Amino acid sequence: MANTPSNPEPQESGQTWRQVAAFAAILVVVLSLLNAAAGRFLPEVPGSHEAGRNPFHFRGFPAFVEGLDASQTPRNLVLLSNSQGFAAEYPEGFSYPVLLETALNETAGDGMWRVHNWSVTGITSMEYMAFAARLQASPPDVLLACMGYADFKGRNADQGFSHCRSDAPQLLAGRAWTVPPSSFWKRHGAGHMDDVLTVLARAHTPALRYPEYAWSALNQRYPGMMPLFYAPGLRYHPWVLPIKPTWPKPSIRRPPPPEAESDYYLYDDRSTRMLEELVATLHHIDGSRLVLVACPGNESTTGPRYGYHQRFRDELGALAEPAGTAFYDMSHALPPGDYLNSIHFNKSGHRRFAEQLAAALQPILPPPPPDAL
Amino acid sequence: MLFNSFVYALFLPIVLGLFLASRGRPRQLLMVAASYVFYCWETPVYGLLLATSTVLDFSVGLLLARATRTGVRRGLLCLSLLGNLGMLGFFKYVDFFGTSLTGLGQLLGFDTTWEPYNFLLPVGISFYTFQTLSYSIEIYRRQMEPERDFATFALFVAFFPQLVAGPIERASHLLPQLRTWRPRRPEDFRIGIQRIISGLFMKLVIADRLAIFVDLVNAHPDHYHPAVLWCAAACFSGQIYMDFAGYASIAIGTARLFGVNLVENFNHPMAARDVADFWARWHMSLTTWLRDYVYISMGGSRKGSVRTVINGMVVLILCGLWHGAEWHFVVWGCFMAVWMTIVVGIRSGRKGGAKKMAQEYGLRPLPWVVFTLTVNTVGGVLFRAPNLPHAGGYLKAMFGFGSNTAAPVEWYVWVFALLVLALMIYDYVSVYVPAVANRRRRVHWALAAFGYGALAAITVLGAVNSDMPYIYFQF
Repeated sequence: MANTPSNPEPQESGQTWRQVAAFAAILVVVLSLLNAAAGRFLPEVPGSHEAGRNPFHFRGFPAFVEGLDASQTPRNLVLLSNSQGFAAEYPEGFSYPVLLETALNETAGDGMWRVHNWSVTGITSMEYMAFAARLQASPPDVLLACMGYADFKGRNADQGFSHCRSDAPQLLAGRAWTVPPSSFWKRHGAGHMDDVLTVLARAHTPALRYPEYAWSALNQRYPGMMPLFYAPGLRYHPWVLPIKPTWPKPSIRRPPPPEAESDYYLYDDRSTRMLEELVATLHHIDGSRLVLVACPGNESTTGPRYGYHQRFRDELGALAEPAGTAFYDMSHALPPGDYLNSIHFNKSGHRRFAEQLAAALQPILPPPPPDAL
Repeated sequence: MLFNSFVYALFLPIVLGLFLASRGRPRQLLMVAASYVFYCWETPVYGLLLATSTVLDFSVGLLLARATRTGVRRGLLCLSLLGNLGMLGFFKYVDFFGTSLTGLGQLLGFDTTWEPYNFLLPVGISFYTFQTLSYSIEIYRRQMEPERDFATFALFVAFFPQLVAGPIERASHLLPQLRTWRPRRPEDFRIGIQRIISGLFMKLVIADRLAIFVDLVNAHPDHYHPAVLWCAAACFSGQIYMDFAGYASIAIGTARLFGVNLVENFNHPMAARDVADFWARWHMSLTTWLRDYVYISMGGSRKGSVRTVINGMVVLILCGLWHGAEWHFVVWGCFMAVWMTIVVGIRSGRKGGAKKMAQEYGLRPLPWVVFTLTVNTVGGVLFRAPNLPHAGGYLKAMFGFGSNTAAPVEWYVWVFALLVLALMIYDYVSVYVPAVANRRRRVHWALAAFGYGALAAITVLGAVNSDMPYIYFQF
């Protein structure tokens, strides 16, 4: 803090325009060096063809989805899904996307299919739309969208891109910028200009992405650093890194989150509009076989959110029908014993769901390309 | 629009580019339009209030210049006061006075009720209202001529760098600069950039970081050890200082890019030797406004010691109320008023008066600075609390009543304590060790460029990840 507002007017005289230009140039050079260094220190993110899910959990999606283009496998299936598909509770080998790939290859032949797991924990329609926009550029053979009502919470319609946990909205900063419909931009862009600009800036500036990485790393080594000194509002790690903690987490009694729990999961007409918009965009991905799936849920028929579940399932089915899109209602596919809680599966649930998905997909999967046989 | 937003990062260069490319009337209109875009970005309807205030005071100014009869002139001034303070009162204070009077009525046995309007306070209304009032008052006092160009006057009211949270400018200082834009000097750009970088650093790296700890402790004061509560209260002093001074720095730097000099709002307030010295260093544009237009209008110190004390107390209570329509702000104002009265009393009671006292301070400022900071920290609890019961509970817990004395003082408390201590030392050294300040001023421009580049880099890497609004926006 070499100069504060209480230090009035440093060096008033004797400056020339050339010196000021040099001053500005030095600033630019310092910041450019910072940006270049940040780019070098950020970890390399594997593509979705190399990993069963994004190993960094919420960050690095722009690089992770490049795995679709880099894939050498004859047939590619992209899975768009939520925390069920990400399966953070287990090593990736136990998750249903990996098991689905194994099941598909058992039938079609080893190495024939690659499942690109583009699932995001706590996904929103904004992230789905960002993935959909990215897929317009390089469509996979099969696009499997396995979604639930909680992915389309009504409250998300009022949010900008910064509401998303993942950095998937950065995919909108590239060539796919114009793909999502205008209603999407009106809702998430017009009133959230700062979010849009933030996404653009972050997509092209490693120095803006680096602090999250550094603080996440620091927090995983020294628990408590992030909520105490960097991000009091984050209840998750933006970057999940393989670092073991070296000290116990300090006792932090954080203020409760401001969200009102009662309408947190509200699925209403806004949700319907977001769903319609997404399905319409997915339909426009030429060259892909689209499969829509209402994902399983372990909610009691008398529970407060069961109505949301039913409405979502009915609406998804209705949207699939006119276009002749394959739709599978798998909301009751798993018995209660296959769940860890009301949403997530246990190991048995992942295995069973993968088997059921594979069986459902078999009749509609394209045959292997002739040169792959 | 927030200074620390990407929208502003785009807005500023565009406006500056257009400003440099234009001359004369188009430049004036461009700046007015840019200022209204800046102000109306989040809530366009508030632009109507700004426009109303502008039209009212522009008209009053012209009529005041024509009027010769004292009664008419007084009437016109009252019109300006009623219009501006009426708007401020309606949006900011109507619920406060409504609920307070209703409560009083119920206490006296009347069956009174008040349905709160719950208006969203228009951002910056307290700042631009005071700024336009200064214009009417100065014309009334014949201290200046009215502005005859409406666009220039509209720009004086809405000039975007200082519109939302000051500094509160005087018409006689700002209007001439906006009327005839002086040619920009090379220093303007360098100093402008330096001030913007400093301001962003103060807000995003220091103030927002201190806010994390302050918010954490204020959420559950009864769970912490008294030492932690003291530390959090001191951190709040640092937070609000860095938050507001950071904003002022960006405002001053932005204005400087356009060749406009705004008044300074802070002068190392953490180095204040007593409460009078504190108010001479803190939010200086407000305190001088209150001094010139309220304190002096009430007679200032010309009507005897009792009236001097009363006038001072009234000004500080008004200052408290200016900050917010809540009783804890009023009590904070009273706290400051009582403290000021004691200090003024001690000063006037001593042989040699204030001069002698200042000389004594000059010899040994450190204990007085520490004492002032400590008392200010206690006052800050009243300021920070959401309401009086919370402030009462916090203050009790600070002194060991109702706090968790068995709770450990975790390591991170010391980190925040060191951060706020560093701020205090910085201010202290800047004021009382002139050699250091002088040496800093003599730094070569190239070295300064690297320094500010490093500061910008630290700001990018060290900015807190949260959307914390500027504290003074709510006022």
